[in-house]
Amino acid sequence: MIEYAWLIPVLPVIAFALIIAFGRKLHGEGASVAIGGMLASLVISFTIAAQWFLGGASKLHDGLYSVVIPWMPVAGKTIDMGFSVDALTIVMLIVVTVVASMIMIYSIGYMHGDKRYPRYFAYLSLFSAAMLALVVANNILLMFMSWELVGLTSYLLIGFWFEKPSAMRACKKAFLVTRVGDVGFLAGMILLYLQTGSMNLFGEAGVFEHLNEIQGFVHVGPWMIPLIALAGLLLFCGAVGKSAQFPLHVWLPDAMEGPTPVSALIHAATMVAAGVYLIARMYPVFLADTSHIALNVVAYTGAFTALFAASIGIAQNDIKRILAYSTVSQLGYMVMALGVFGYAAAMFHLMTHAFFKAQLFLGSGSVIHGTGTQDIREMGGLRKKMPWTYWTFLISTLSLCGIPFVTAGGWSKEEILTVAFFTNKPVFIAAVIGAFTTAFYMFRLVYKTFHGEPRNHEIHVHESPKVMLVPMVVLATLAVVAGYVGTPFANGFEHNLAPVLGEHYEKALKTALESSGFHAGFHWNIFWIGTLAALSGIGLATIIWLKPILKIEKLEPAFGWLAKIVENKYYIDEIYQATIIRALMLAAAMYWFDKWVIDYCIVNGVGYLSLILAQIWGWFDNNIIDGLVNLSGWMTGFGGRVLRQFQTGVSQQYIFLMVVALVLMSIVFLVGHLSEVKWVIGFFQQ
Amino acid sequence: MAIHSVGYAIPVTWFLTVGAMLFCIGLFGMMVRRSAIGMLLSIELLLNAANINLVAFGSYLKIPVIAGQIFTVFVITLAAAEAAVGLAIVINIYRNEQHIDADKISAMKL
Amino acid sequence: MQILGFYITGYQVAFVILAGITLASAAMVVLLPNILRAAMFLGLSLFCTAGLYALMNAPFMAAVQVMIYVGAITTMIILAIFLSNRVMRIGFAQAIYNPLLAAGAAGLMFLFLFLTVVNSVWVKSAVAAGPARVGQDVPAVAQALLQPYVFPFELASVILLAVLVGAVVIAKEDVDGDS
Repeated sequence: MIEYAWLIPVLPVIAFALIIAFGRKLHGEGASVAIGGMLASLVISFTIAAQWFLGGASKLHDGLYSVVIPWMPVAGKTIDMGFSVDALTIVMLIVVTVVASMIMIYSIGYMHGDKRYPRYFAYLSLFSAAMLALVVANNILLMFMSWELVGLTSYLLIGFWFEKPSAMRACKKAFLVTRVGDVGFLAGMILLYLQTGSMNLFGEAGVFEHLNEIQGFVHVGPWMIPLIALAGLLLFCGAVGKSAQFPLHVWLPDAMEGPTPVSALIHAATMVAAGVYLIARMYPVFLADTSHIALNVVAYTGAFTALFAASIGIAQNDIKRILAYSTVSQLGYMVMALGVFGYAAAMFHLMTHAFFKAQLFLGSGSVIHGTGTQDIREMGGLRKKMPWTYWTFLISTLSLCGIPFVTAGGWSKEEILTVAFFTNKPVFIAAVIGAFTTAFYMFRLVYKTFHGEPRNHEIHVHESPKVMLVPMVVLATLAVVAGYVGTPFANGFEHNLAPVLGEHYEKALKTALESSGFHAGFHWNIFWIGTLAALSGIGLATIIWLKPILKIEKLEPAFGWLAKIVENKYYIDEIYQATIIRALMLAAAMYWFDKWVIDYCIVNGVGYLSLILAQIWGWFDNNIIDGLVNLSGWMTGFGGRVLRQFQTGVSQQYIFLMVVALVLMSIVFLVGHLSEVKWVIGFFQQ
Repeated sequence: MAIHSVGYAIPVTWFLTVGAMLFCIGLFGMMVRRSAIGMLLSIELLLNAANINLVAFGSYLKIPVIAGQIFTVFVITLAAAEAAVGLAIVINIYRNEQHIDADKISAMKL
Repeated sequence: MQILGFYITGYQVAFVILAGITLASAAMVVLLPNILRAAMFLGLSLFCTAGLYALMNAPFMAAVQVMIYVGAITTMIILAIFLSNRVMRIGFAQAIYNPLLAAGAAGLMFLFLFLTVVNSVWVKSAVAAGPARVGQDVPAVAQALLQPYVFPFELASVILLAVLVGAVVIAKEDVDGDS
């Protein structure tokens, strides 16, 4: 069966083509085709998994099954394409196919009656295909192409209801922001190709075999960065974009404008996990860097994101946005785990998170479907009217909070905490605070949505249809049982995943872990810290919102200003608007520059600044400052007026100026070589 | 065996000079033409001038390379693409504004 | 043939005639006020360039030049002119720049290019006295396109597809309502 792994991404592509071609003529208006393709992929994935882990195929193929065929000859070299199957791939395949097929089934109910219903399933199939291709690709170029295709389909799906201006803006934002990271991925790919001469990951000539040959250094200011660390950092840039890590996280909450099942599939379980998968797949690159610069950056970025996004989640009122920030925070957890050598722990958390977060999104979709609103301030008391939604949602929430022994999230979070505890104490502390905050805001969400009395009586709540409930129940079940493959007592998950790195890097990982005093297994002290963090978060939420011992009104004066900052997401979007986007507009519009920035910002700004300076440094002579202000204002104003003459918008004039500039340059050049110039003679000579 | 047709007695400089002349005529056209179609015509001249140089060098090098002709194929491809899109834009502008004067089209100007 | 003491080959005569027509009609392209005539002259200019390619022993390029440039691109431009026929009378009589200024800039540009051509050391050392006799024919081009350059070749086809779609989308009339 393993020879047919390439069918896994191909089947959804066929479904996509069929739906695009025939649309509503198909059975179930296209939905059946999409789901059929996905379920076939699911069956193949599970068969491969069974053969690999239980049937001994892993030993037969020595831990890696890889097929390579020549793809295209470029400049004397041949770039290959192909697919590979190993434990990491299989984990991802199962996660993606399970979540995707559940969400497609759920969408039958959720998208019922949409005017672009077939197209929705076509996009969903194409997305799944791209994601699965990204997973099975054994070649960086193929990975990159799938990566971009994933981004494209994400754009199409976020903007699926493109009549809404907010959805239009959100899809553009998501596309552009992730593209910033993709440039890093592209640069990293080129760097690896230049250094190792191969795009293939595995095999004799593959990238991973030649990582040790990358010995150069790059000088960045006073620092010397090894090239291999640079390659890792560049690849990490791609992950930062796709997995919504700190500076580039802004797109994910806005992406919630898409249909809810899309949020569940793309922005909870698969695409955002692609960044984590990329780091895991390219982990040898990070391990080959013995200085661990890149890994430290990964760890701290992840830890910061985990904390930062969790704190924003507290003050949001849109049910999907809370889940979005929760996703950013949990992705931060995974990235952080990778940064502190928790290779298996990160992948384990990726898997459990995919199940429970997809379920949470589906649950929120069910709530939105039943109430018609996304604002948790208008909900309340849904527990009785939507019992199935409530119980599945609660189970997933407990899993997300990391309740030990019972839920899947408990096991994976435990494992991450254990690794972080031994290797990096600051990151461990951030992770514990993150666990506390997560429990706090998730139970705030649960209490406000499902408990108490209905706040808005105009909303007529109804439970969702069965076709939506079944996937939710399946995923909620997985959110509990998926954890038992990787308990610290019998960690089959880690046991199977570790050989993926190859002998050399497996040893490197083990050395790095052991040098920090890490020993696998169950640690009571870490268990108690993690559990107490989660329970106290739940407890605090309970005494504020369920049994209001602590009145929220009383907290307001003390924490109001903090709440405002958090509610506005630390003003990150505003900062970007004020800096980067405005700077781009500056470059584009000299006229605008002249009118607003020079006259308004710089002159007034300098004037204002000097006013403050004059007040602070009162002894400073006012005349000098005024003179400087006027001079700088006049200088900039003059420069603007001169430059403005050239920005007429008349293309002929631009060409004229280009030619004049070229002529001037050539005259300068000619004057330097005047003595050597032969004027006409050369024309007839050979 | 000589691989070059020396008997033609046309040095490469002749072709290069023709290319340079064509290029400058094209530049001149770009600067003086007011209508967008006129500018597109001049762009074709510019591309043609570059093509002449490419083919000439590919053919005249002591070890001839085929790359000159291949590049020219691509330039022609792009010229066709550019002409198609350019003319589509011109027709669109004409439909909306009833003229195609490049200097008067300023809807995109900030 | 011997004229005024110079030994002149028939190829040289052909070159001078072809280059002369190319340049003269190129001048017409930029000078004629009537844009339709200018487009016709562009076709002539490109056609004679095909002759220059033939002189460079590049038969494939000559054929492609006639088929694509003269046959397709010029025709397309002329069609576009028909579609927007009110502009036919606008030439450089209404030029934005003083044509003399533009001519001066272009002339200086030519002077520099010409001096580069004439003085370039690289041209002298790397270039033979005539065009290549072998390795520039159609089979060679085909081999090159399908072996070392197959990737850019495929890319070009993608670009053409994108352009096809783009041109249709831009040029088609806005129709209200979603598909």
